[in-house]
Amino acid sequence: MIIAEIVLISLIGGLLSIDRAAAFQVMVSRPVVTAPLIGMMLGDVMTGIQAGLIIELLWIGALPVGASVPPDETIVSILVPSLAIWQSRLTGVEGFHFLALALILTIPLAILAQRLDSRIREKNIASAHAADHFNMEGCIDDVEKECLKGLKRFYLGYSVLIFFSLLLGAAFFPYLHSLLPPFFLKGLERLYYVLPIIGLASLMASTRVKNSIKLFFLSFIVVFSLFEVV
Amino acid sequence: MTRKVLKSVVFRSFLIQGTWNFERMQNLGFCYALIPALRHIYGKGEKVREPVKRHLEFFNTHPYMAAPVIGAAVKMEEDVARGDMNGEDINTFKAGVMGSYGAIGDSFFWGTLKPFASLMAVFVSLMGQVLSPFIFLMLYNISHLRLRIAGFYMGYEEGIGVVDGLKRFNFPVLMKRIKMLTVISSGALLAVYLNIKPETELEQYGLIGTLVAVMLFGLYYRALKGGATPQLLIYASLVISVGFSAFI
Repeated sequence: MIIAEIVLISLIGGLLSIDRAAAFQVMVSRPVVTAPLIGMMLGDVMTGIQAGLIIELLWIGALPVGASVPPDETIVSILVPSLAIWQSRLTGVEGFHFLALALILTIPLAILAQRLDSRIREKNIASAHAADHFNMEGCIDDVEKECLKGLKRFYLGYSVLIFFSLLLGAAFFPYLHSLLPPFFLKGLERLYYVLPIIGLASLMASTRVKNSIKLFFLSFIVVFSLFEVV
Repeated sequence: MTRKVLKSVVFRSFLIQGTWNFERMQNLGFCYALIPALRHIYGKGEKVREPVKRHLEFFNTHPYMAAPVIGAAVKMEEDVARGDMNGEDINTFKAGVMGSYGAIGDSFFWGTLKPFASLMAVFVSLMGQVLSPFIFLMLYNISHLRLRIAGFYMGYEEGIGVVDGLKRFNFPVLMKRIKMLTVISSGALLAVYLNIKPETELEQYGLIGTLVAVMLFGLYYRALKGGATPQLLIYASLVISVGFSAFI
């Protein structure tokens, strides 16, 4: 049963991943969309929403500038809700420490996916040369085919990476979780509550607005006092 | 130029980064988008080879901002075919606009609109609403699709004059306002977050919990300003949090 889910998520996940930098870029690859979508596919939208909100905030300050691409938030948004939902299905309990554990295990994948992205962009150079060649020969149809080859590379690369990550995750996550002592799980749960604060700090650190930090605290104090009064 | 051809160019412009490469970056995407128009203008024979070659040259800008450039290139190719313009001029135009367009696109879409739409969606998620993905997609894509579709046709209408036409979008003013709103919403979001989660321990400790959270924010802010990445802060916090939990 779980293998069917892994295959399905890999096929859809590849599509979501190409939205990130290769095609359309309507931002269905953002955590706030991707994670709920994965949650929906696994029958637990709320866990997807929870994961999406945390990952979105953690990546909110990371900007692609020119040719540089930041660590891949899409693959994290696919893995984290999947692992957390499978784990609560298995154990029958729900807990934020599942999300936190899944997150700290999949962040290295974000960097791996970033490397994969670079590799594919290197491979695409061959298509640029092939297109020159076909144009010289007068085969415009073949030029067009070369123009689309990168999409196939991105889709296949991402789908395969997602597939094996999910497979490994599904196999080892429950075991790893069972090894952890209760205090570690408590630490994970506490970490989970702190994560949005890291995200907001990274957004503020990357914002270039005059007096931004003063404005931030002013707004914070006003809204906070409103809560206290009401 | 027929509407059908233009539509196909617009559709293809969404794939501009499909075969992005480290040598000539968006060249294949740009050429791919233009091919239906080039075929229409130059026919199927030998004549199409030269313009295709021209658009296989290096090109790189923000993917959305490429749309008005593609529109202008279609227009200019028509001029070239009629003999009113030199083919070389198109490449000079492309090379001339790609840098500044890239900078505008990066700072408006990646640096301003995306964080703002994200933040609004996070607000909605915090309220436990499943609507957040839709709110994000709507807030973000209204401007995005407008620039890509209307921007393309504007480029096609105005040709080389598209550089002035884009000023109508008024990016600098819009950017300033949205950024201000993002900062204010971030402060509000932190307050809402600290209030809305009754199950957090921070809440349990009342005002002291809030102070701890604000101090943490300050510490993270300093570290990030000093060059730390969010990923590093996550692992550092994990170590501290687990170590702390071993005792308390």
